[in-house]
Amino acid sequence: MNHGKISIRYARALYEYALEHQEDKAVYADMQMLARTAAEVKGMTVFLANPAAGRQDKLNLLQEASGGKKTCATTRHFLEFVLDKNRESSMQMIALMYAKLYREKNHIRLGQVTSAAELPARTLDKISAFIRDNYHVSVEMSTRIDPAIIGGFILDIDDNRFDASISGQLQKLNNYAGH
Amino acid sequence: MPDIKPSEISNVLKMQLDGFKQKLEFEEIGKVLQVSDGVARVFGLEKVQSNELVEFEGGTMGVVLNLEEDNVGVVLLGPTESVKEGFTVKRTKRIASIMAGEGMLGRVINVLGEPIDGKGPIGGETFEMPLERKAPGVIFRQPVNEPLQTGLKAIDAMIPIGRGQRELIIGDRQTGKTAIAIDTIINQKKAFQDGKPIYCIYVGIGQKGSTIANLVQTLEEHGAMDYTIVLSATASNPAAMQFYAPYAGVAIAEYFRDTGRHALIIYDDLSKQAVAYREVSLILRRPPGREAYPGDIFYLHSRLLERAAKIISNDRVARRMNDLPDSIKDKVKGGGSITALPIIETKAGDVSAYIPTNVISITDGQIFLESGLFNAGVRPAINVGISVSRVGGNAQIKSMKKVAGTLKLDQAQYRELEAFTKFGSEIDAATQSVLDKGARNVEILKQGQYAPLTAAQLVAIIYCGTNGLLNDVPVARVSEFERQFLDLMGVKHPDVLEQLGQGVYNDTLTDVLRKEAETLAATFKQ
Repeated sequence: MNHGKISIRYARALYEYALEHQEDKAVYADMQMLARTAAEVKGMTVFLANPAAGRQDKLNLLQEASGGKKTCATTRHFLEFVLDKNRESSMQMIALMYAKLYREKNHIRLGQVTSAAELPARTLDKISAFIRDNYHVSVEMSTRIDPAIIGGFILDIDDNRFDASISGQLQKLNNYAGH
Repeated sequence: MPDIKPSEISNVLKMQLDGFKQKLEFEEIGKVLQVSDGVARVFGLEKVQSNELVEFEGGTMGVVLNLEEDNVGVVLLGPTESVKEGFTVKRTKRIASIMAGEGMLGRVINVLGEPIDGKGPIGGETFEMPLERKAPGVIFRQPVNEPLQTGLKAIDAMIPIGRGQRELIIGDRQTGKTAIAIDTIINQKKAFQDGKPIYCIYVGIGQKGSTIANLVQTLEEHGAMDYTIVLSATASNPAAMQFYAPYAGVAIAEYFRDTGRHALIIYDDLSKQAVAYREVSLILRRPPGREAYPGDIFYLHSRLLERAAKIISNDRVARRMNDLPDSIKDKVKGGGSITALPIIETKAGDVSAYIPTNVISITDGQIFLESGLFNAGVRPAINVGISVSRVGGNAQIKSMKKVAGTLKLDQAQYRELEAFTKFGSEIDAATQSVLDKGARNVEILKQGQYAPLTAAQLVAIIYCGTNGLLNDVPVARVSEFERQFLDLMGVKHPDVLEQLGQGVYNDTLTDVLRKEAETLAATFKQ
């Protein structure tokens, strides 16, 4: 069975439903929260896949993971629908695929800048402007500080990485010299 | 003092730095969502290709096996603990490959081509050879016409193997399957010394580390490591390493084949590789089929064994061979070959299980070993009746073909009659003579381990057996006769042996054999 098809079908249905009810943006926030929680909380997907766990417990967990009381009506309705269809084990992938679909439809790209020290706001604005001008899309920018990169920065735009860090340059030099 | 490699001299480093263009470009990445049992599920990597090598944060490599709509399934070529959820994965835009070269000879390596024998890095020039590659097309092949001598009487006489052939060695555990493979490697020593080497690659899959260590020691003791590469994916390696091991081995063998040389590759064993592939497939949630193996288990073995081939001797045509890797394009020569000896372990002699039947149908014949024969002291324990070689006969030297022509039939007949005589019924003289001859032939075909014979010696002793020259020799003393006869021939008639080894067969030579055998047999008469 091709499990990869399940999540995209549910995500597409959710997007169209949310669009009709003009809640696509709110659902996007909920799904992002859900995907982030699933990645951070170890054991969440295992619990969801466990047939011995009760439906109500799973629903409570999914609602909490997607924002608790702040979740929109469409999200709450969708979570119950997924549980009825016994597809809760695919919920993390559905959330990820929804977020991806939403960004595609709204011409949004995810950007992340990793630097060794905190970057001034002015530099971040410049990077955002650079992406906006070159890709003609809006950017959801986030930052991360990782001293291990020594210096420079790493820019991730969706699935693409521009590595201008010192550690990356050293690694490339090392690979080139054949060590 | 720390070790300084020649490649680390300042001038060399400076030259390398000069050539290092600092190119900054976008790389494609993904994020690990889930990792367990040697398989990682990755979100992102949208443009990644099947079988592409990917690099995880921290340097662990992986191979992309499953492309799904929402994730990518990657098998890890390193410990599962080295990859964590949330790690970044980078595309390398390279298909999984191994760096092959002459420097690997005499070494023990892993699936990634890294040495694991503690003798330092692999030296010399190496060439990138892809693990997955299409087998040569029909026009780049040539029929099997050159023999590959195993040095084992039973095989070279009755189940001959030709260069470019795939001959399966099949049998239960502890029946001497690996022993046949090792003896075959050891027997290539003379060819290596004569400057016509057959490079041997032994691929150990899912075996104990100690077994590999013993094997390497044996090969070293017999001077066989000079032309041998041992590739090992032991039982403690991840399943992905175990199922890629034969592909890495054949990629190295292809380097020799495509540069006009001969290679012999032994897969020990493909049943364990199938089990490793089943494990990976089930973790990747591929639908299970018979015995829980995935649907493409036949293709897993057929595409591997199809790469064993005899390449056309015309260099011009060989250079246009399909799917040649760029690294060896200017070095291609015709006339090379890969001979494959896959090994399959059966359970309680059941050759009708899934994997044995698959591999039997793919190969050009099989050598079937039986524990009953092994325990009865018939070693190598080959069941002559069901062992066949479909193409090797064309490659057999003329003298061997002449003397051993009826041996297989005689032995099959002997086994049948022998079963009848066990009821204790009276037997006529003709039957008794078949039984006598058969019993002596069985003794002749017995052979000690690590004691391969030359083609000439094989022809000489089998001539005695098939022509009934041992009738006066008691069955228990046949091996003694054999030893004395071969010593005698070596001392008195080296010219006769040389001619027999070259395939010459005429009355003059057979007269000498007959005369010497009869004289010697008379001394054994009771």
